[in-house]
Amino acid sequence: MLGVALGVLFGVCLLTGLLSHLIQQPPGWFAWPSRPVWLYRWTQGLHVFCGIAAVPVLLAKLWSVYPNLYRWPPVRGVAHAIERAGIVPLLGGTLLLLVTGLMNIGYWYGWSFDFIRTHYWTAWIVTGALVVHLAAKLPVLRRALARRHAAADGASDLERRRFLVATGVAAGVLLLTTAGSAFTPLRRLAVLSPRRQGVGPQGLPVNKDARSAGVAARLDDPGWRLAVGGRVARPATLTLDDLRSRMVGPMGHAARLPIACVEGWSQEARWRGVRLRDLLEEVGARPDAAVRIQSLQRGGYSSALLNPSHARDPDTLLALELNGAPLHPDHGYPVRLIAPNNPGVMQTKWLESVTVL
Amino acid sequence: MTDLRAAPDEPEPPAGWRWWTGLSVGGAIGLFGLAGLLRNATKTMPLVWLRWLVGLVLVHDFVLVPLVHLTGRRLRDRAPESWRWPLQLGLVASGVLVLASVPVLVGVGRRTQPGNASVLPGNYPLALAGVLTVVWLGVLTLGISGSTRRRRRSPSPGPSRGLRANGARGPEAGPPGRRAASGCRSPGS
Repeated sequence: MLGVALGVLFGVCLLTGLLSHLIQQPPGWFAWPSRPVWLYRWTQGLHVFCGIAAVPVLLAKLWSVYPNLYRWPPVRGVAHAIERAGIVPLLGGTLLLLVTGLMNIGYWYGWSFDFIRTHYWTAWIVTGALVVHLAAKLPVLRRALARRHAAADGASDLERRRFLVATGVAAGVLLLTTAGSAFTPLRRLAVLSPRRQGVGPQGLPVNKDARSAGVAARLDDPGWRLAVGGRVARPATLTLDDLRSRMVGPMGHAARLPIACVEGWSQEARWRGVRLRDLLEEVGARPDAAVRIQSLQRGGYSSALLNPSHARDPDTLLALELNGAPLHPDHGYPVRLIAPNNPGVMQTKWLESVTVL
Repeated sequence: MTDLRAAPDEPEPPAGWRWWTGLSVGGAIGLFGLAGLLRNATKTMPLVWLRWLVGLVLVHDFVLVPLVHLTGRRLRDRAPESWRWPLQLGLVASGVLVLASVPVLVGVGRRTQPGNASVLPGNYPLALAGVLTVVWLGVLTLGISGSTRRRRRSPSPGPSRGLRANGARGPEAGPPGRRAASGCRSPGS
């Protein structure tokens, strides 16, 4: 039962994690759509919160099989040795994924390796070890599932159920006190979450602030311009006033869109700015072109690639306002990208250029 | 009796075509992962990674789990029968909550971005204390209602340990230390 729950949670984490990876580093055959608006918010929320729920389930599973560690003789034959050796990457890898995952959403980078790549490749190693483990345990799994339908054996069944309920309660309390950072109806209960909905400048959390991104000093530069170029007929260089005048004209548009962070938290907000689609038409871009959005920020996450679906979505904005006021510096002043169904790290802030590819 | 051991007493060593197929497929996936990890060695730092992996296994197997099993055993030996289940529930939930909250309790994340007040905005020790209070109020309610029910059902004297007096260790007594509670708290707390 614990194993099945763990398998389901791990499966959800694996699929949603792979999806997030594909979206952020898309191979040629993959195109992530801009609709439905909420999809990435849900898949990434599931990734993080299934991971959190897996903590008690994994621990319960490990505690219940712990005596096997001291079983004698430790190894009976080659197949058994392989099976037991496979437990090390399975157990160590899963603990590594959950522990570093929990630390990562708490902004505690207590390691020197690159979290994303290590998380990704470790997930493959764990998946392989899990397949081997399942193949070895298939007869046990079958028997266990069959037993559930057979007559319960009194006391030990009661005890097992109580242990499962305790594990379930632990997972439930953990979710209730964290999931509100993404799931708005629970937002008041998210007291143990590293993020709170509504907490941050303009009532919205910030992933990276302007100072940490190293752009704070450049935001008030009167010489700031947005360069719109690349494979276009009429490249343009726009001042903030140019953008503002477009926002109040026919290119202006407002939309309610979520920021959906890879770290699991998400929150909807009202954004207002210039429709990217209209701006691309103004400069004479091809309708099926992809677009690179570049930030003033340097280093990681300083640019994002928008596929044609996102670039042409009517709600994709070069946003100048958030919740009715000009963008706070930490939210990307003077102008940022906001697109539907787009991971938070690709909602580039502090724009410098838009390049049509 | 081995209710919570996932495997039956003497599981046969894996065999048959399903095992060998699983081993080949799983082995290939695992090696793909390992190759990726090694190919990106400048980013993934396999030696640091290995230290983390082995370190976590050791901490889990030789610190955390023995503590849990010891707590479970003491709970079984000392707690009145009607209180065992609520206490187990409370200890499991508390242990998990404390463990999962370590990153927000330690609060290193605030130093990662000193200018970003939306990172770790809460008073987490206070919040955790509040959540644990609610959990233990639930434990108290369950425990009191359980012992009241038991007393009503068996009006003879000495009811709360009555099941033990039957000779056996009571219907819920399985192997010692098996179910148990988590983490760093003693059972009486």
